[in-house]
Amino acid sequence: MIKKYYRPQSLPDAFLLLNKPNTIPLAGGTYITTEINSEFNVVDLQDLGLDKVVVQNQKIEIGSTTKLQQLHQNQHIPEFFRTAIKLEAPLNIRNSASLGGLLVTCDGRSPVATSLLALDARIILDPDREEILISNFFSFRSSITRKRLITSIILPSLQNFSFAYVARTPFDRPIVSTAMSMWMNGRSRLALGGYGAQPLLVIDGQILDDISLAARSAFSNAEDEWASAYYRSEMAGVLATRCLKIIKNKFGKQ
Amino acid sequence: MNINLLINGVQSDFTVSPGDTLFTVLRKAGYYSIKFGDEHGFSGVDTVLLDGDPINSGLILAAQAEGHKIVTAEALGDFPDQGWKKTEGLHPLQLAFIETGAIQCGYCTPAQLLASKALLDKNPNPTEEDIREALSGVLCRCTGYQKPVEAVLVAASKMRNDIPFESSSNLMVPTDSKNDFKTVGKPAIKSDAVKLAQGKPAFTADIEMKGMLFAKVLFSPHAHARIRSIDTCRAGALPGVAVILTWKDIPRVVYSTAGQSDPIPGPLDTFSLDNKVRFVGDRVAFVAAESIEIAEKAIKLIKVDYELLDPVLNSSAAQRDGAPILHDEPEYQNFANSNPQKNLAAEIRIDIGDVEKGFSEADEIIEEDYEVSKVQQAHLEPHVVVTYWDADDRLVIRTSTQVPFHVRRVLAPVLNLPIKRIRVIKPRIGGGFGGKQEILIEDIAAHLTIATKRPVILEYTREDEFIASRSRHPMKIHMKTGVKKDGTITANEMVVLSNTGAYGCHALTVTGNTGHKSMALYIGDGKYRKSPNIRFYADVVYTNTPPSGAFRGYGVPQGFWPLERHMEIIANKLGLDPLEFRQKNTIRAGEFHPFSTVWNEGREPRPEVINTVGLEECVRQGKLAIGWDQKYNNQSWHSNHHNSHKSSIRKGIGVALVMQGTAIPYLDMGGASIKMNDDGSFNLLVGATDLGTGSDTVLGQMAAEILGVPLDDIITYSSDTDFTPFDKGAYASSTTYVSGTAVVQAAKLVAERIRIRAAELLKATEHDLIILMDRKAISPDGRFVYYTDIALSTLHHFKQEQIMAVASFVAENSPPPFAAQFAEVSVDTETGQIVVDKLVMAVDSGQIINPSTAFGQIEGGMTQALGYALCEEMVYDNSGKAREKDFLNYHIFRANEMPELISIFVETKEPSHPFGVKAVAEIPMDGVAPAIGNAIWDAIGVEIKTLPITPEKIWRALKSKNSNHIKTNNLQ
Repeated sequence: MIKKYYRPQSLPDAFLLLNKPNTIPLAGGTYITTEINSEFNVVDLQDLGLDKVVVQNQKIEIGSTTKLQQLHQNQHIPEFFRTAIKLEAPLNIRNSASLGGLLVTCDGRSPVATSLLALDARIILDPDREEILISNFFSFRSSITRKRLITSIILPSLQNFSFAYVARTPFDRPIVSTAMSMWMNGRSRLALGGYGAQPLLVIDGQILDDISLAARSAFSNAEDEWASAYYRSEMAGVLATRCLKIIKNKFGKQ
Repeated sequence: MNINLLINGVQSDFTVSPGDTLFTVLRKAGYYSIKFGDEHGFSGVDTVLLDGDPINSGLILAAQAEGHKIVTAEALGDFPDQGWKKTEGLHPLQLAFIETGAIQCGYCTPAQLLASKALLDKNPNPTEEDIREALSGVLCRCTGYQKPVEAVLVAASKMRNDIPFESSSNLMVPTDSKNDFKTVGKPAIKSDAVKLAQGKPAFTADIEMKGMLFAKVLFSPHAHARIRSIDTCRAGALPGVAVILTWKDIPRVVYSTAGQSDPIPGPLDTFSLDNKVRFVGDRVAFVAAESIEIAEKAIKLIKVDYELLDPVLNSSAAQRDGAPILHDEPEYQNFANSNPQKNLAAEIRIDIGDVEKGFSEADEIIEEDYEVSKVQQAHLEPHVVVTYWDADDRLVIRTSTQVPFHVRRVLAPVLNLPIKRIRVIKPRIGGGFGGKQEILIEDIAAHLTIATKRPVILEYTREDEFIASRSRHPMKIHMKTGVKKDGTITANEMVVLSNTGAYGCHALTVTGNTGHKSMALYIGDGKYRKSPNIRFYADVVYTNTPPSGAFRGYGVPQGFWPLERHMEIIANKLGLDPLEFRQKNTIRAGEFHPFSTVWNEGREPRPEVINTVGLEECVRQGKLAIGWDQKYNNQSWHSNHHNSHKSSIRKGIGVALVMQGTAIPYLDMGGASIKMNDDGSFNLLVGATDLGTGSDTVLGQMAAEILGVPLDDIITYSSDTDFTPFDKGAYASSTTYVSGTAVVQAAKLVAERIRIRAAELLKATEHDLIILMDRKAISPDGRFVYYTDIALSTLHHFKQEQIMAVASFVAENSPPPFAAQFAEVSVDTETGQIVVDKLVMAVDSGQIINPSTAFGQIEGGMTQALGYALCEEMVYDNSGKAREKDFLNYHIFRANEMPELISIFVETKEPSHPFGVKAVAEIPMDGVAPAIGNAIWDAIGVEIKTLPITPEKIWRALKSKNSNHIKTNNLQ
């Protein structure tokens, strides 16, 4: 239950407020408004100008309060990442939910989180503008965001990216998803989603001979009420191969 | 805190709590167009525009909205004629939604309108894909999105002054000579569409009363437990708590929550509150408080000491020796063969003909097992009720129900009130689909009103709906069929194990219909036509899971999944054409409904001949629409693809034939009253319950046809137990047929009085030659008198009388609609992912009264059935806790992921109804899943026998097929 609402006009003011006890940032509100089991104060970030998407030096810096739909419509966002954004939530929620809020609250079923992991996104935490690798962020997000604020998310460089998934319907939450990035120097990142508390990074480096095997192994225990580990593991292999094929077919000539 | 909001162009100050959502503040301020659908924003019915974009008002704090431009549906447009004041009229989008039939229950309509407005403001010339994307944030459980999409296309073309958009996806095929009806058979605007398009306060929760209390229920966290004690001291001491009720506080009256006619055809096994809980979500205590927040807080402070009991969580375990018994209460009242000692809520044993002899005459006997899942109605308006004492100390129950008269009758003993001291009012209903054929929460609010003397509102959350309301019965089905080599069915057997959950509401009747409707379709050929051999056995068992109940189709979809998958399997095994094999064995006009001689929902059976069967034409039309002859058995088409990983995609096509019923003969009764007003208009009062289907309009059309007036002159009202005649309610596909006949009969009586009085005014000798048309009574010589003059004369001038009549009707038939349902699918052989590309349904519908609403029923039904086939499922863990508690995990198809839908009406003329109607609202549920299952077989050659058809099931079946293939090859 929300006890106090603040809407600061500057980042320093926001940090002062966030240092108060039981006070948390409020970006879109799609998660916080449904949280009724505890009492806390909120700091609304909407007037802080954190909703810009800036492309500079081949990097995309996305303000943390950028709405998912805003991101989906941005021409600089890779096509397959836009697909993942659309899968994340229906339109109305995408119009409210922020990228920063999603990173704090998402689980492994999140297509956007899986994509960001493959894209090697960096999380900028203020007030000290600490840059954190997304893989580290997921592991420690509850502790490292305490009294701090995600102010932006950086996609390091424009890269080749693909995303594939299996779901019960075209826009249902995926049971298994794979996201893959490939840079000009051959470095690749493969992430798996659709399971667990956070997406899983499988490959970061040169592409393996058998990407399918790596993906299958990574999900060999990925069993829950939605799918067996056997199925998820096999699908991870199929979809990883598909992602690689898409990248090669689509971007191979670059 | 104080905030200032700009709403619909007007700045207003509000004092709010920091945690108040925009939804809460707007609803309190009277913006009733915004609805509650769920806690997480997935339904989208709480949509407002914030700076032009659709967002969920329930997911944003009111304080966050300060400084932004808020638009609600109230700002779109008004009814143009407000007496001496005129308005600018309705918005083109509102008009288009009204005129295209895009509004069914109307609960999501304001949200859809706003989403569409946001689109058209930015893109005046959208594609269908753009529109589907724009509407994808708002769930609609009624329409299948087809008509809303058409409405936006129509509005967009009008706003651009472009060529008007016209739909081409639907077809009407009359099989009889053309009629000369004026109103019947014509698309008519739904009588409630204008108010729903404006978001007027038409629903149960759209009311505020002084001193209203808010109710919450403490639900059991255990699947099976006895309550040792409940401590409500801390909760009761919380400021703002008015009352807490536990099982010790209210009378212990056993009843059934099923909304059915007297006597209830099922066991009485339920108490408002009991000292035993039988599923996670069962009731433990009721709280009424000054606010929802206080009630929720109080719920958390109630301390319950449970003695945990072993639960029974699946139907097979329920029948084992030594299984824990759910119903050991001494008050339990059996119905028919129910036996609580064996966890048996109902038992059905039906043998028609000599089944064993039939099997002995077969060349092949084919047996398979099938399974259907538990799914929920998921009406977007949750269960909601308001109760209060009126000035005469009568208890008023304003409730979103399909069965207002049953609510009154069933609750009277539970509340210890005579029926005459209860009044039930049914406002507009935001969808029901059977979920509101249940007296689910009315007793809770009523007990709290009795305890506090104050008005009480209880509205379930979406989580409450998932854990504590009703669902479709999950079933395990064994099929055994004897067939001759030429495809003649010699005997057909279905044995069902049905899971009623913790209580036996609808246990017997739902499962009875599983066999009664599906197993009647194929009677065999030749000598078997006169003497079919059919067996239907069912055990309906209690388990510690949420109770099952009525859901559109009422057990029949559960029957057609196994039956139509089985027919396909038989055709494949015998090398027969699947359609020729089916049509050889289907029931024909003039033959007895085989079950009518032996079973009638727990009542006396009476033989019934089927008058019309339009199945052959349905098959012909459906085949044409889906391109069956070009696609079936066409190998190049099967590997036709438009996908990047194209080599893995296989296409398939499938069919299912189905039948349903129309009302319950010798039981279902509907009443209607019609009275003439001073201006020649008429009030039509019906107890029938329009739950968004448009039945008020359809009934009005029938009255208008008989009375010779436009539909506009019929003011239909439903339903209020104080004012409207009895009607058993909206279920069993009976309203158009049963209530419609009552309306026609009442209208005929009124017409007769009009003719007599007109003859007097015209000084005509033979009143029965007078024709009623265009608001006039016309004598054979061409002289006429206007209705206004007849009305003024009869009410004011001469031999004054109120021209009015009441009539009622009980059906003696249950004429089945028939249908051919087709599906076209694409299956990814590497992942098992399936995409349904197209659904076609050709229905033997009888005379369609209102094509606009009827097509909407078909499209919406097919969409629900699509979810049943692919993604809807309620799953429980080992402790009985639900996996699905929201619309994220319980996925309902959205506008942007729908296949193409084609609906066709084959209009036979059912002789037992004055206009020749049959029912069409339930039958679309029956054939989609098996048609998809059969299409998967066609695409990749695997048999899926359980619902839903998930990618993993398909993939595993393929894997198993491939490994068997390898084994076979190795052996060779």
